[in-house]
Amino acid sequence: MELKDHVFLSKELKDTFVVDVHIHVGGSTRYQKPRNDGDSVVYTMDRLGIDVTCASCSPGAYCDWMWGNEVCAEAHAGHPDRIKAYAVVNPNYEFDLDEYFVRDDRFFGLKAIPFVQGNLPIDCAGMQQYYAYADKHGLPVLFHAWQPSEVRDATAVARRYPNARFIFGHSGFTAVEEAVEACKLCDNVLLDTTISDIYDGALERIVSKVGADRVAYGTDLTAFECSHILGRVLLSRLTDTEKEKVLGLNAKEFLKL
Amino acid sequence: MRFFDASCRLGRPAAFGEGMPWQTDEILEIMARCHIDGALAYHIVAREGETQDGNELLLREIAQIPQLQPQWCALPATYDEFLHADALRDAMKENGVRTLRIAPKSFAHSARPYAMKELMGFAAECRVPVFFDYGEAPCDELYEICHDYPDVSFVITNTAYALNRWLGPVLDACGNLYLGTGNYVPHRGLETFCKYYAADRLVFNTNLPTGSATAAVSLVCFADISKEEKELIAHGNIERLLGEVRL
Repeated sequence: MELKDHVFLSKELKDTFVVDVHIHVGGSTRYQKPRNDGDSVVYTMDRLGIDVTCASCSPGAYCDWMWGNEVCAEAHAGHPDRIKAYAVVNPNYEFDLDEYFVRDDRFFGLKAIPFVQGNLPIDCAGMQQYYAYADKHGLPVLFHAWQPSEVRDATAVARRYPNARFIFGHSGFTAVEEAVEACKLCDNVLLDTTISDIYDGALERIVSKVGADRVAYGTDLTAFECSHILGRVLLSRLTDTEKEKVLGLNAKEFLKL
Repeated sequence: MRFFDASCRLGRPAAFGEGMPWQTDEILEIMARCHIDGALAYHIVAREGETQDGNELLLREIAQIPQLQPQWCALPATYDEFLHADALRDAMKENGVRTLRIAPKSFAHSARPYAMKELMGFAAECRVPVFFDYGEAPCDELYEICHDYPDVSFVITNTAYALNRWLGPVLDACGNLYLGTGNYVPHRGLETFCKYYAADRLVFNTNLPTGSATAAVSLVCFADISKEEKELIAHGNIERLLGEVRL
């Protein structure tokens, strides 16, 4: 059976290792975000055959990031092998990340989205403490890297902190030129597939430019559904070998899962 | 499972992303790859250029392509700018057109009855489904359109993931509103929709070429709903609506 057949047979991916590097848990005042808790995430994962997801609490990023991190840590605690937790960090605070990574083992990486925390750039002064910590400990950092300027800033960060590992959320679709440059300059960068709506062919385009080793499956679940992005990969013109890399093998190696 | 796409677009766009499949043969290739047997198509010139010229271009473009059925863009006939009801009925019948697409915001006209009475009266009388993008009538305007013309079946397309708080009350109030599934992507959105509003108000569409057929098909195939509900969404509901048209 080819990977694409899973779509038409409505079959979960049992024999393919699938990692979603970019999901969210927790509800939102901004719009209805149904079934956003850990149990619901795992229900969806099981139905589709997703082995591991990497979560942050986006509503927390907009307000009390430490509250959000507790929401995320709870989701992880309920399903420690299935949901990995990114700690959202906030550049407006000085914070000792040992709190999350030494005295607490619930988190595995960081989520950086400073534009919702006072419209600050990715490379702002307040974020350096977190990047330095990630660099020292070899942690993964998921960027919200939508705008070309954000991708350029993220690239500068990735070059400055070579021991940290950076996932550029969204950028392979929203800032292609800059994402390609980032992959050329930095071995510690992976692009993800997260976007709610994009034309068919966009995934093939970015893979053709950076290679199938540099793109990972990400979805923004539960901010929205993940099955349509899974389908974009499964029904794309990539080979099954390339699809397997995008769906999970790249993330497995990059995140040391 | 087979699919029928209730709304895609043909024609040469002013701008497009690298690799975007806008040419008709590219769209047909993706349809085949996604098991989409047929589609209702409108023309970009009718939507973005000149309505009647675009509708004519559409007929020529799809004349030899049995998978594609025409969807005409429509305006109020004020100043005789578009066909009046009787002429529109004749033209649609002659050319096998069974659906219309309106775009009140883009076309710069009111959607209220004082402006749309003739066109919507025709749609109601002939049971012609009328399509429009959500962006053409967001929020309260969506309710107003559905409420003002209760005998017309409306299908909204090009929705998104963050609409449910707006959309739910309109679906509650207006039984004549149908939702195109292309890019309707709340988490487990189709399942929730079927639970609260029933599968017979969902119509599969892709929004090709700017939207994704691979994503649209996967949303339905992977939804946690019954096979019967999937069949209704994939093709049954639009076939029923088209079967009710009386020109």
